[in-house]
Amino acid sequence: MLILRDILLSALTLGALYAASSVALSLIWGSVGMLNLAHGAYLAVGAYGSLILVNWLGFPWWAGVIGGAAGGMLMGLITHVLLLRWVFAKPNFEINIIILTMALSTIVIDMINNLIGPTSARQPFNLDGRIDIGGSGIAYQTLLIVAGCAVMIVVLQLVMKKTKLGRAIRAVSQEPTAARLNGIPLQTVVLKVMLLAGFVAGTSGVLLTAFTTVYPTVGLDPLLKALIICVVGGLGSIPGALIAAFMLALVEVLVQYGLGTKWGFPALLVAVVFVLILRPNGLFGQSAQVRN
Amino acid sequence: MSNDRLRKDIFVAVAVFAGLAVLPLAAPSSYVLGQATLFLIWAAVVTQWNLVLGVAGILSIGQMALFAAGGYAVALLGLYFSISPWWSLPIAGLAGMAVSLLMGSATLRLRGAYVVVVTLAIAMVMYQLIVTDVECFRKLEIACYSLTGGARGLARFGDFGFTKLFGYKLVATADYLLALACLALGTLFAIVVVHSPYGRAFQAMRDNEVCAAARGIGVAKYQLIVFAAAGFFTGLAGGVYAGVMKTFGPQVLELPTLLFLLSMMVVGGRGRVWGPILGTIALAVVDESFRDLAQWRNTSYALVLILILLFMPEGLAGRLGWLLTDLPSRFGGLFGTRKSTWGQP
Repeated sequence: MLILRDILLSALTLGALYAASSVALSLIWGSVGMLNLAHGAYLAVGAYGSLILVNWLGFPWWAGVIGGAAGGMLMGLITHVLLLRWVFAKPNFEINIIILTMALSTIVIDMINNLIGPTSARQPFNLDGRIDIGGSGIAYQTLLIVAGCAVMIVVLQLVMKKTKLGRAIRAVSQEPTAARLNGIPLQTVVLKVMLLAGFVAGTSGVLLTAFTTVYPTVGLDPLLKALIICVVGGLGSIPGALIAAFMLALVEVLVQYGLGTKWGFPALLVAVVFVLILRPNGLFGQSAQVRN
Repeated sequence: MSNDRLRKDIFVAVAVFAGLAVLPLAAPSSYVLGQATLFLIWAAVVTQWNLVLGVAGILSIGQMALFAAGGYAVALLGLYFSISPWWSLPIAGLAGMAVSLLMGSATLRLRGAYVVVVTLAIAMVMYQLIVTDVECFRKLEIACYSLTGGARGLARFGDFGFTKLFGYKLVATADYLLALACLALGTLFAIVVVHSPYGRAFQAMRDNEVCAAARGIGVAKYQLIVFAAAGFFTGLAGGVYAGVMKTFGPQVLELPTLLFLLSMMVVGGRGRVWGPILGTIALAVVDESFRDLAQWRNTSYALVLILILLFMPEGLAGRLGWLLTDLPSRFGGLFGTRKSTWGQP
């Protein structure tokens, strides 16, 4: 029983981390139809934004999350102005934007490496201590992540479902040309999506790195996990991504407990491939949106 | 018409490779020769990748896993069974093919971005398994080595024995010629495939899958065929790399390598037979000009990639073909013209 409880608690922690890493990716795919391979760079810039604001500029620790959100939004802005707006709704958009964001990610990591330095630092925005439950426990940081995640998702759902912007985003995601014919300024809406997603990703970056440290390629592992989670949940479905995050976390923790740490990720991949063989569009995905 | 183009492409290929083969006569420094060898191997990889991504339109980005399979096949067989790379080269090809088929069958039902994620994940799992492999497999004196060499990679597994055959001075030249042979084999294969009914089927799949299926092309079958073929030659290139470099590590599976090769393909021109070679030349030039700025090396590739993709999406081969058809030259069409089936959809 004790082991089971520990496994469930670890899975909860890991699932919260995974959920936090995948929300922004899912949002961008769902509304713009772009697989953002620079997502890892968004997370890293968010983490460094917090670091710069608190450690260099001397703001209090809780201001870190503001720095993170600002960093993420900056990345969203850069992605849109330099890359996305030139290829959106054009031929071969799907593959071109994947290649472009991969390149952007490399440039950002190189810049962090060369301008800030490759050494790792401690994330100032974190909570020490944990709730003790007879031997094992939940770190406050986990609760913070779960709470942060929940707030972000509720707000996102409200924005998407209730506001004018949300309606415009959904219209663009369903059919860009028709949306434009109905008077929706396509590029403005896409820019807003990127800023929103950048905000979420930057914040997640701050939350995530409290468990590790902050270093230039810190976003790489969350990126891979987020990609897998979004694919299993169905690209673009935020509820799907949430469920997939906790399910895959449970699978990974069970495998790590049974076979050893190094088999966690390979087992995850096998699980993903099997899910996708049965449901090629993920658990909650709609059949592939074809954009030209 | 098709046979005509096939003959032209093969003619150009023979001329290009003959030209490259006599290059060592100009007695370049061993540094230049070594770099050229490396770039020839990369060109061989990109040529096969181009078949999958550019010609068949399958968004697989796990190509380096096939390369690594070939390289590790040669390294492991050399290290534990003392098999010379000459004998393990075919096995390297088969290893690449096996991984490629695995990747191809895992993505059979998937489309678009889903393929990207799964293929990337396969390559990354391979990377993590190798890097985290620290269990003691063999002991040399007091040092302990793992089965795959872990993050350090493998070394001292034997080479092609050129030192013994030709003497110390000609090793670099021999390596260069071997890499060239590997590239020539892969390129000739790619040319023949592209002009064959198989190539037509691949392009039909890329341009409109539903139409292709409706015309009786078994999409799954052809996807596996293109994966198998590309896997074999990529594995072979990996084996040649291991034998020439005399060391092989998981670094080839890291993202910067992937981006570097992707730059070659995009800069050269996706889906065009001469794209990979032109792209390789272009990237070699970029690489050399950024030699003094080593820490910005990846940025330089990424910038070139972004600029070409935004401003010249058809790549160098596409632009050259366009120039050549505009000029009333008898060489028109050699590099794949606008009208040809080589173009982007």
